[in-house]
Amino acid sequence: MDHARLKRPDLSEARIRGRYAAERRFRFYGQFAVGLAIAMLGVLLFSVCSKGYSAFYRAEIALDIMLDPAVITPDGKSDADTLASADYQGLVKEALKAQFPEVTSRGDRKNLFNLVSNGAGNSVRQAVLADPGLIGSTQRIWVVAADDMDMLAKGFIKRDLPESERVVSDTQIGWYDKLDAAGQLRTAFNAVFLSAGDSREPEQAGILGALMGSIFTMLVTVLLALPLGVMSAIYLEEFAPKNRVTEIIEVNINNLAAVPSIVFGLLGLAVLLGVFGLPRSAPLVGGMVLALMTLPTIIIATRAALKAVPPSIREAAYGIGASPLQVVSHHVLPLATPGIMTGAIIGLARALGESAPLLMIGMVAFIVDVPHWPTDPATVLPVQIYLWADSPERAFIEKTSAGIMVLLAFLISMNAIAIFVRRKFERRW
Amino acid sequence: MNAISPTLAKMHGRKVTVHYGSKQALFDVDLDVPERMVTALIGPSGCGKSTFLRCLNRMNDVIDGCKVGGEITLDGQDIYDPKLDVVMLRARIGMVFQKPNPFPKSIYDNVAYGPRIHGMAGTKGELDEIVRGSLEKAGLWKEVKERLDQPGTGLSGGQQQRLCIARAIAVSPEVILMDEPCSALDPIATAKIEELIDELRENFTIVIVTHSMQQAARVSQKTAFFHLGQLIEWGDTEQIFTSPKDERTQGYITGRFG
Amino acid sequence: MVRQRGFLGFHRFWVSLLPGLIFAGLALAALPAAARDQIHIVGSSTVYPFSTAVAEHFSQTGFKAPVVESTGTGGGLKLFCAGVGESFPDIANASRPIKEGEVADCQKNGVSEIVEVEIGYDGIVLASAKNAPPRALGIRDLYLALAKDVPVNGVLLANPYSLWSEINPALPAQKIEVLGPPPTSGTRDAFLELVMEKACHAFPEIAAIPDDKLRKAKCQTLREDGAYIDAGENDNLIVQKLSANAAAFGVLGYSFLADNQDLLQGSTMDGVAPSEDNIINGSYEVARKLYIYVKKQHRAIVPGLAEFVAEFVSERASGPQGYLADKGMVPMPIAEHQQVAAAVLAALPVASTLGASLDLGASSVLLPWVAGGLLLLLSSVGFQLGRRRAFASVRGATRQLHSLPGYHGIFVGLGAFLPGALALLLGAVLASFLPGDARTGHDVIWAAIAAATLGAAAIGLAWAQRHVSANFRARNAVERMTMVLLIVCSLLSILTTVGIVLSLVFEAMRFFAQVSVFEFLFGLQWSPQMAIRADQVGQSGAFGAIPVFAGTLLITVIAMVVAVPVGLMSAIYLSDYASRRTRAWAKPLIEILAGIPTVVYGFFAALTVAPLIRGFGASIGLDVASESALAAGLVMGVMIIPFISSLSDDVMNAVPQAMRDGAFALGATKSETIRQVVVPAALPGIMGGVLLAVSRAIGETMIVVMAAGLTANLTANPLEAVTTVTVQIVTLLVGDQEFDSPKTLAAFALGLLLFIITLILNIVALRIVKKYREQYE
Repeated sequence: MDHARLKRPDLSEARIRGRYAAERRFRFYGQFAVGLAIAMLGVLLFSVCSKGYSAFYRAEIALDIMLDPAVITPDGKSDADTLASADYQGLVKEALKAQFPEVTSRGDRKNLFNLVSNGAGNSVRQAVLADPGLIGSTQRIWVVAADDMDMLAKGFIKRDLPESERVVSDTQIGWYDKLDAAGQLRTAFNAVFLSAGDSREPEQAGILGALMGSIFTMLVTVLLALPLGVMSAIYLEEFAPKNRVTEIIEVNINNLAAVPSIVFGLLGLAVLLGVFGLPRSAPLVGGMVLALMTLPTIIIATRAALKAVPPSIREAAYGIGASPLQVVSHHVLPLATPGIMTGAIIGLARALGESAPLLMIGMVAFIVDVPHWPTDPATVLPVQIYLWADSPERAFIEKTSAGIMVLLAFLISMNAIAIFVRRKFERRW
Repeated sequence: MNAISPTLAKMHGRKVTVHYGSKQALFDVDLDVPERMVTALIGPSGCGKSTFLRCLNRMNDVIDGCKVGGEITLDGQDIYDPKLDVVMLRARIGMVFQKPNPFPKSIYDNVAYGPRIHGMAGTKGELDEIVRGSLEKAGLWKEVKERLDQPGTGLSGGQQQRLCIARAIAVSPEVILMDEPCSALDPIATAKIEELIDELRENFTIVIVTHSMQQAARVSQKTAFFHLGQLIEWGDTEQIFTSPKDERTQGYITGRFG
Repeated sequence: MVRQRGFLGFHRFWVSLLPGLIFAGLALAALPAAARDQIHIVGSSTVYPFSTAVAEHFSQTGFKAPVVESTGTGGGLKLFCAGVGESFPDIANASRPIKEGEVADCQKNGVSEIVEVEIGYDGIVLASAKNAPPRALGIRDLYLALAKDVPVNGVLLANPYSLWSEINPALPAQKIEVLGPPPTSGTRDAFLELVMEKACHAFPEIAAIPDDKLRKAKCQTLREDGAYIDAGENDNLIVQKLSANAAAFGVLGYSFLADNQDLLQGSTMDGVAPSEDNIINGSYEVARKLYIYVKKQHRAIVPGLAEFVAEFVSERASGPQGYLADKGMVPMPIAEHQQVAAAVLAALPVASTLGASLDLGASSVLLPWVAGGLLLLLSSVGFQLGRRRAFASVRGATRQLHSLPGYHGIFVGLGAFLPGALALLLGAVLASFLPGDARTGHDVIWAAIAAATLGAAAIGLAWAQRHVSANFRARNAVERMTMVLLIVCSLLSILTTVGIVLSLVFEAMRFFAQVSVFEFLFGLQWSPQMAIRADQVGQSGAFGAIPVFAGTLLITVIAMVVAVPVGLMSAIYLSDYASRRTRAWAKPLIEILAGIPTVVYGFFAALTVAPLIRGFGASIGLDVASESALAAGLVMGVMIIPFISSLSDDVMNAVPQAMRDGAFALGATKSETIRQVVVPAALPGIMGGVLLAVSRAIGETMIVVMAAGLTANLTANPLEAVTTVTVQIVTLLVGDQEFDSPKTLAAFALGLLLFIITLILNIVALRIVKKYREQYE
């Protein structure tokens, strides 16, 4: 009976040391894993930011522009329409010619004009519209440089390469240096990037169109998914009898939450576009598809939030004679709101970054105009990023990364709101 | 207070205090645990008896924000000495919990787990021997010898608790701490465990926390009464139950509160 | 005091429905295709950059900028030919002339007047990294390097060449590796026609083949053993990949070479350098014409159509010095350009009466809104009436009412709203299905719908109002209605699933009518390169899904190899070891990884990770494909880390503390407790979580679309390029497909299979997790 007594734990130093070494190793693996994950995040963010920060400023060139009345107000009228539609780009070209009178050949002139952006005239237009009194005088106006000059200014085009291997020629670099030496070159904040729609010219391309598209799409998604999801969750959690049907609904919702997003795109393509004939490229349709995708997430989050409300509250309300719906709408739902909101925001953040289903329903399109309504054609931030990644111009690489930065900023602020809501209203029972 | 001579006591507690965050749970408890005897800790809920028990093998280390003060010794050695290894300590002081908590492993593996991590058995045969011995001591061998490879969670509540005791004694601890080991069990299972405790007294020093005064009277030789985080009175069980010195003890025992 | 908070709370509940109602209004407004004032352009990805440039310039002339979608030539012409009216595109971009079959299809759908506009040339170049030695290729070399079967000593054999030097001793002894567009691309068509076909006819062995179709097939089938790599429609990614890999060639449009002269060089083709001049004068022969097709009938539908085309053919756009030349298009010689421009302007005169069509739809766009607004107004009037009547019925003594007056109000309001909304919805659906020219009848139809809506609402209101009395159980009635609403909402998810299944099954059935289920499920070859168009013969069209799924599996496995250990160990470290402060910042940081959009990961994988792996492989003498499964898998693994870590955190937390205490009390160290007690106990839960992660990895799209390959290789080597199910779906649906070809339908078949597989995985995983949870509850 006493034989086990013979055995004593081996508490020798060597063995304990071995066990602690294992302990340290294990701990190290853990630290390593966490470090690795965070390092990956760091590398990713760094590679995006280091490529993208330069898109937030741009090169500008100062030109002495003769605001020729013969060009701006050809028929003597100076109403707003005439002023707005004048050929300001032509004035910019004239100014360039005046600055470099030695350039005469057709081909060289074309190269010269390529120093400034196709949209350079806009700056002149703004100046004239702001003060029509300037017409007739010569003004020094900062206009946008072309994307190649922009790349040169930012050092992305290497001067030491042989001329034939560069997109900019030696003569262009010569002009560039001359302008630079004369103080006619600067880099300034790129407001266009945050205020314009897409463009084929990298220096005129902006993220606002996609941003508005994302906002409209999200709006539709919220308006659809939130009420439907919450109501559906209320029924399932509070009222549904436990039977086969509700069980199937439950299993079904859990499954939908894990169905690949692209399948929802196929659904949108076949049903919303195919059967109902809704317009292509519209945030309305995108929002509907994303709402279907987000619905299960919201239902699950809402049910969890409802479940977290202790039964005692319900019993108390029933005790005073409230009807089941009153119990839910007066007590349970208000108490569960913070939880529902956090779940909903997280679901929406996921929808915001989603692009695969939108590819299926024509939201990959070149759209210059900033959309003003959910049925206007639009694209969304992640798809815009995908599109820019596809463009041949080098300058779009920085735009792509900058677009990612905007998207991430948008996402992080949404998540921050979710965390704030959770911290602020979280209740422990 | 009839303090027994330090040489006879297995463990000493001196001015033991415990804080959970800013809340103090134990106030200057002085208590000695005599060797090869059963010491029962009794008192109303929240009186600090479980807290004190968990101090004895430093299980409070696991809880965030828990601070232990004062001195507790095992064979004269301070168990809160920073140099002392808590793993070694716990190998010497086993514990059985309120709710049976077998690992989700086979019965065999449950008992063999301790000996394995402490490298107590060189061969499979030795390990078998330890498992068998422990289960026998826990009075469970006959009931489970045919199904050692079945999950420990499949046993009845009383069997599970005896399995946990077997698991604890498999590492041959010097002291076994029991935290209300019978509170989740029916009277028959309780009786078996009590019987077992009585047998274990031969080889082990046992400290048991219990809610039931009858149980304390049945199984223990020494009894300590806790109230509101203070040790009110302790001494021979018989004396505590027949002629308590403090009127609070008296009140509790006679069922006026608690 | 009696109509207090209780009622208000309930009222709020109904008010919260308002967004849904607003939305319904919105959807109604969209259902009858609203008048369009933007030109809609679809089609070729090659013409896309030029059309967009013209679109942008056009928008500066005061018109709204056209919307340009890149759908591939075939896909674009399909949409273009689908019909006349606002919901169909006005212009199709094409990198090849329209086919007879497509014209016939157009005719069938009433698209009878199509104007073809030549806009310029596009050269196809063989480009390589700038730092690679310049190479002179011939089309013969390319044919021998890339054809699936080549003539060797008089007989056609499977292509035996693996080094360039084996084909032509003048070429370096380097591995043949050509990145090129996938079968869905117009650039690929042109490459096959201009290079492969031309070169192969020079061989007598080929010329000897009597059957035209078979000959063409032999000429145009590219090898599938990895020497030719389908590199996706994203030419910019090809540029990046080429510059990172000196050994590879890329088949690109000339514009990409022009724009990336500092990164790439173009190989001379039979001694002629790819340059603008050489393309125009015809000496560089690997070039093709580009077109746009304009639907003349749409001049009356969209303002500015003729003006847009005029801009397109203007000298400042497509002329020799025009801005399209800056974008990389090779312009027509000046005489030819003038001729084309004149012809187009004659066919599509710029009308002076534009905008007339604009006003037509204005009122009909408003009508649904008016109807919806009036309905809401009537409902709120009903609410007020009902409440008043309830008050009046007991002369203000509300205690005598069974239900609070507010409930009577809601009852009457809903009585008006529900029938009205139903009428509106039915009307809208019917209207959208009405045949013929909806435009003219639009106003009438919508006026009728609006009248019906209001009528139904008024009747409902009157009916409900009659019910209001002291004893009427308005609250119960309202609650019943609410309950019905809640039930309908929860059925929506079922409806979604049914919708998914139906839409997938329906299209998949059509696919399986052409390709046998058995072949699809068990076929070992996937090359949907053919059966694309009647004339594009050849190419062994094979629809065996096994290699596609094998590729998916390979990438998933790599992702799991990264994500499971890292995710699990992070969860363990953060929950059991890290100090509270570390946890407070490390946990959210890791969770950010889950929130990063997948398109960002795709970009990261394609442009950062893949070149890195390739470079590393090269430095230790390993040959890594540019689109290796490894790169996509690794990045996908990073994406999945937080998924695994938060799931395992959950399940390990569910392991009772008593279990840990038990181990600690025996003297186990922390790691012993975790490894031997907690993890085994949590294993079923962890397994469930991993399965869910697997299902997510299988369905992930953007990462693989951007970073994985398109060729279906049946391989287990992570350094090779493989393709995945989702990549194939995207490529098949966004490429140059022909209508109703097995190709397009194959996408739905793949989608169905994907859905079924993830469904099974999810059901199993969720069941395991649920069982596990119950064990400890």
